[in-house]
Amino acid sequence: MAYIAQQFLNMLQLGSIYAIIALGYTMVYGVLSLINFAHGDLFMVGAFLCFLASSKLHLPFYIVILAAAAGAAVLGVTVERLAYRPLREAPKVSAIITALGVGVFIENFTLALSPYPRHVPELLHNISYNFNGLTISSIQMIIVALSVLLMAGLDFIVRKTRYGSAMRALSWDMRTLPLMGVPVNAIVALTFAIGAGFGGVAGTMYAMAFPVIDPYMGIMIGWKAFIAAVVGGIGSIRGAMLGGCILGAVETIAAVALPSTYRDFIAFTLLLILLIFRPNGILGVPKTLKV
Amino acid sequence: MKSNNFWVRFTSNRLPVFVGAGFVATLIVSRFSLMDQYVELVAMYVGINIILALSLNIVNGYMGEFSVGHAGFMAVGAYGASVLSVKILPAGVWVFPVAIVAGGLLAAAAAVVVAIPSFKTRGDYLAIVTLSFNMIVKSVLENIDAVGGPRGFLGMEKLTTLPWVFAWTVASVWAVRNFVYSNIGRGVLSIREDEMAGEAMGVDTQKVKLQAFVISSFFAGVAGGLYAHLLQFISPRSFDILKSTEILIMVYLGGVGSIAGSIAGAVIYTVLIEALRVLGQWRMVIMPLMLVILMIFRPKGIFGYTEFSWFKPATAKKREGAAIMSHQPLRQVETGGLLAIDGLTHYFGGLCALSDFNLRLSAGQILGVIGPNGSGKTTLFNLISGYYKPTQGSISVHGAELTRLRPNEINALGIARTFQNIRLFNNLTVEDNVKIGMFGSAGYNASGALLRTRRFKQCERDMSEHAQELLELFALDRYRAEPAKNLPYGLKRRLEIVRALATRPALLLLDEPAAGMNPAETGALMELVQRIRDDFKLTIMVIEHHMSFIMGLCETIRVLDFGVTIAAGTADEIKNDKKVIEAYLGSSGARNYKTGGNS
Repeated sequence: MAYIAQQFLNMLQLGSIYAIIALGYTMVYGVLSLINFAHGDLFMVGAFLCFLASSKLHLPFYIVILAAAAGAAVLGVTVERLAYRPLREAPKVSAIITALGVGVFIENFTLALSPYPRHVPELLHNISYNFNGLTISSIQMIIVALSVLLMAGLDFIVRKTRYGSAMRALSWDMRTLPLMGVPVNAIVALTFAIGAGFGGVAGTMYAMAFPVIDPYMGIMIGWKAFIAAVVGGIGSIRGAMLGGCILGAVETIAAVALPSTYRDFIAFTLLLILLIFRPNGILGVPKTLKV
Repeated sequence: MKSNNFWVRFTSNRLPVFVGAGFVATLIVSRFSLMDQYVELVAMYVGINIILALSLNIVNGYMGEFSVGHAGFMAVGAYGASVLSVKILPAGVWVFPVAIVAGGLLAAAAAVVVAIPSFKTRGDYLAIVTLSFNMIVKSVLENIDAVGGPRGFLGMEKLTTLPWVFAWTVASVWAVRNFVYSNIGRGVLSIREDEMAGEAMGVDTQKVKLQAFVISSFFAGVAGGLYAHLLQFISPRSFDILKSTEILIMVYLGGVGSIAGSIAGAVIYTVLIEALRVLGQWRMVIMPLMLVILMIFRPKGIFGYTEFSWFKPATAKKREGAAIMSHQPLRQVETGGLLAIDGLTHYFGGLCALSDFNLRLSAGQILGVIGPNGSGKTTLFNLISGYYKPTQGSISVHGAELTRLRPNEINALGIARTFQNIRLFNNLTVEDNVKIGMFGSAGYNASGALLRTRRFKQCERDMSEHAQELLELFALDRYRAEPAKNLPYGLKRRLEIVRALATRPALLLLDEPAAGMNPAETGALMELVQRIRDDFKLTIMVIEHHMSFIMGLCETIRVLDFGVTIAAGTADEIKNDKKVIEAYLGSSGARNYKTGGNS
């Protein structure tokens, strides 16, 4: 029983990290219908910024996490401005391939600067609490609590504020929106800033839980988070949270039942099966066909 | 002009000679080691990369889908060929070609698995499917100990030589050319230009997608096999996303939808990457940057959508005095009922777009469908042609039920249509637009196209002649080689009708054919429609807002309002129908109209 509860905790920790990254994918997709393949690498940059801020500058935890979020947000907005904005009117395929290219660029750029994996120092003194054989660490609690807080905050912004309604309107009609007096470029930049900022926070959380980081870490984690977004229904914020938790659960169960090397295989197979039977994800709405 | 002609004839006649000479040259070079080893190695990389670029170009360039995990297919071919040559096949000279072909076939089999979910999804989701496939292949290979798992697989002999690479490259160019310039190739292009219009013209898009995927993957697998037997070492990491990105760069650098582009892209990229070797790790930074800059400034690449004449097969010339083809419907009904619609109802969410529509249409009639905007006219057409599945009711043509069929199957039963907002294949020539209409009656299959059999040549010539006749009949022949997007508006409308006629339908659905036309043009179109009905022995349903057009042309008229049939009858009956006047002018307008008063 304690074992199952322990696995459930692991699942929750992994699931929240996936969910936070998945939100970045889903926000950009929701607004621009663009799969931002570089998002996983923004997450990686977040983790590296966390490493720089903590091991080189010895900043306290809350500043580290803010710095990682801000740095990733700036990078996200820059990428949008330089690479995606010129292609907004171009065919979809150009934008997607550009996004892939940006991702590989960020990875290899980081690799050229820092060829070896890095070890992130302990950001917070980790205390483990023991309840009847069930161990909960303070890091786990912080990760889960912070994720829930961020998700609730985002949900509030998107549903209740005028910026949120501008984002939702943008996803329907980008051409008409400027006529209503909405500054489209600013809203797109805001979307990228929030999405990438979440990626940066996720990078820090990941580095707290699994302290060895490398420039290619964003590929796999990013892809998994993307699967989470698709499983939940890409474009849907609540779907991203749900998808993150489902993927966390599937991976934890797979790790218990099978050798750990099969984890990726199972995650991607899950994605393919889902796409066959429910191409729009669990909470996604099918797009209507226009003739 | 004349010298150009001479050059074309010279190259097309001498091409086999050049290729043969090239092959002998590579044999001599490799036999007597005339080339610097490094240069020879780079030359072999170039060849392998040409095959890869061609392979990806089929899917991304010609078909317009996004496969971004092509290295996955390459991996299947590489491991398949290597395991065969190292572990399974006994030694012998024939081992290498057999292993390579088998690797290609394995990759093609993998493509079938990937293609199936891709039918369910469109656009960016295919990118997800292919990338996931790439990841799955890598993950599976890492978990198979028999091929070395993550450590990689070795033991291959260095069987890949310059002559082999040359031969495979030529074979790939030849096969891709034959595939692209065939009926199936035109089907592939129609998917890129407008998949929905392609389906309406009878293109079996699922089958075409599958064929394109399979052929593309076969060559990716072949390239993988050659690569493995050149490096003599492969590991799952050789085929990760970075490799897929490389292939993408080559395609988008050289040019999408172009064989010349694939070759140029592979040559430039391979040589450039070798030249930049001094930069070390930074080379891998420049590479993706190149891709991004390309996408922004020249998204179709150097040769985008254009082709050297060498890579186009010679087109069949029209025979003098060839017999006039039949333009009449493929399936002719003797008399009476052609189309029967019963209780047809369609909801969009809670909104009823069409309710309880009934119709009996007999052969040779022209039926007009009118009604205010949003009254369900186009919905009716979309239901008949298979784009929407009705909430309730049945549609049958020649007694065959349509409601469960896909648009291309419905087209094969003899229903063709035009679209309210013109949907031509814009980047294709006028002739190709018409030929896509003949997709269903081509008369040869994929292997015929790949091998250019006599039957293939015969059928292609028939199609060209038939297309030419149709174009002449509608005075479009002088635009034969012009891309459809360059035609003026009125001719675009006409071409759409010609394209629909090329499918040899029994029933033609025209969706606002006179939209945007002035009275003189509308009058000419009326005559044209009448002539088509008489000459082609057609039945026609037409949606139009021009009342003079409808009243002058149609024997019977249906009036829809908010999805409900409010009147049916001849032009005179409709004109005086109270409900119709109300629907068009509103109830107070109707009062004024009747009394002639002014408020």
